[in-house]
Amino acid sequence: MSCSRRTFLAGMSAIACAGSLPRLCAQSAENPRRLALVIDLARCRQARTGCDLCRQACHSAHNVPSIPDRAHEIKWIWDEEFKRVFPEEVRPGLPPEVAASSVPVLCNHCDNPPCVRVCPTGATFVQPNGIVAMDEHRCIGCRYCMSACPYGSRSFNYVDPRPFLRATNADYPTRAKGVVEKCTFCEERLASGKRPACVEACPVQAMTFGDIRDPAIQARLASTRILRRRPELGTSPYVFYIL
Amino acid sequence: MSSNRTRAWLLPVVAGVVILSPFAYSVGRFAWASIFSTPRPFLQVAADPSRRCVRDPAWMRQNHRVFLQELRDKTVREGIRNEVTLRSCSQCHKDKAQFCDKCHSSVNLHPDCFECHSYSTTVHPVVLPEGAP
Repeated sequence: MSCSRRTFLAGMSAIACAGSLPRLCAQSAENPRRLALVIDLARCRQARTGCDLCRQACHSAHNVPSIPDRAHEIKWIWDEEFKRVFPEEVRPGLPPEVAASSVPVLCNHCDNPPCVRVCPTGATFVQPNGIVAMDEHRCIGCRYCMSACPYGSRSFNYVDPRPFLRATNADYPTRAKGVVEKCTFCEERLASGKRPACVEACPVQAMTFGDIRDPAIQARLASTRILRRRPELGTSPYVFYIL
Repeated sequence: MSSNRTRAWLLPVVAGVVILSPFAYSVGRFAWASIFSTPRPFLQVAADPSRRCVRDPAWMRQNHRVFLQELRDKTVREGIRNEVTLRSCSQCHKDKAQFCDKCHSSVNLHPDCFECHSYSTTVHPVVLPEGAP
């Protein structure tokens, strides 16, 4: 019996394809969740005159210290001026209330996170649901991730943060001096079926959280003008803003 | 002449004893502690007598480090969270000084778990995982 080179190669590739089929099927069947957050800035502006309930809720849930020295401050979610968040949107004719507003900003949990790519120890990594997670046990404090993140979403503990905590939530760890920390999309709350602390705390329900395919998210993303921070960088953020 | 020779012999010995005494003390103390006074973790009897450890206590005594590391990796890296947490140990072992520190300090080990995690005694009840021994 003769076996030409062509038949042999065809046979081998058929076997290889058959071998990878179950994995391919499993992937498409699972259809893993991809978590996203939509922030309606029009609603947020309604509530705003000094409303920072989202920040308070987040920072007290996760033992984020309030350090008065701005060089050392730790931020998971905070307010930023519109013109600094969306500099490319600032143009003549922009409604003055929009131009003067401030925008809640947090980690964008990018699809292509530069912080993960540069981390030398694998301390920061992407979970299957899209959360860019942080493992402080492995963090060596090199701050490459802080240089890589174009959104400033990461903070470094230059000083021991514990003296700057007003109250400690014993259910969540504090951090030590010398590690980087960031928003985790409240993965510990999601595990017990709760929504993120910021989403829950918002008095005007400006934030919608869920899988990107959820009808509630889809409805919001379809309805109005959607902004993402610095899309030209190719990081593909999953925090969406409705102008 | 002979006394001079004796002194010449004595000097390095005395110097050697002086130099080595800290090492000897540290090794000796460790040896003494491990032979004669092996500390045992102090368990406060739980209010609920049906409550038992998530693993066999003898196994835990040897391998809690591995157990805790696996628990950490499961929680942080894989996002698998169940009711067994580092904090839930304190439900039964209420006194950290007796339960953790006693053994660790006798072997000069200083794990930094509770620099960040809190060893508080008010946590949710422990639910044993399926098939726990």
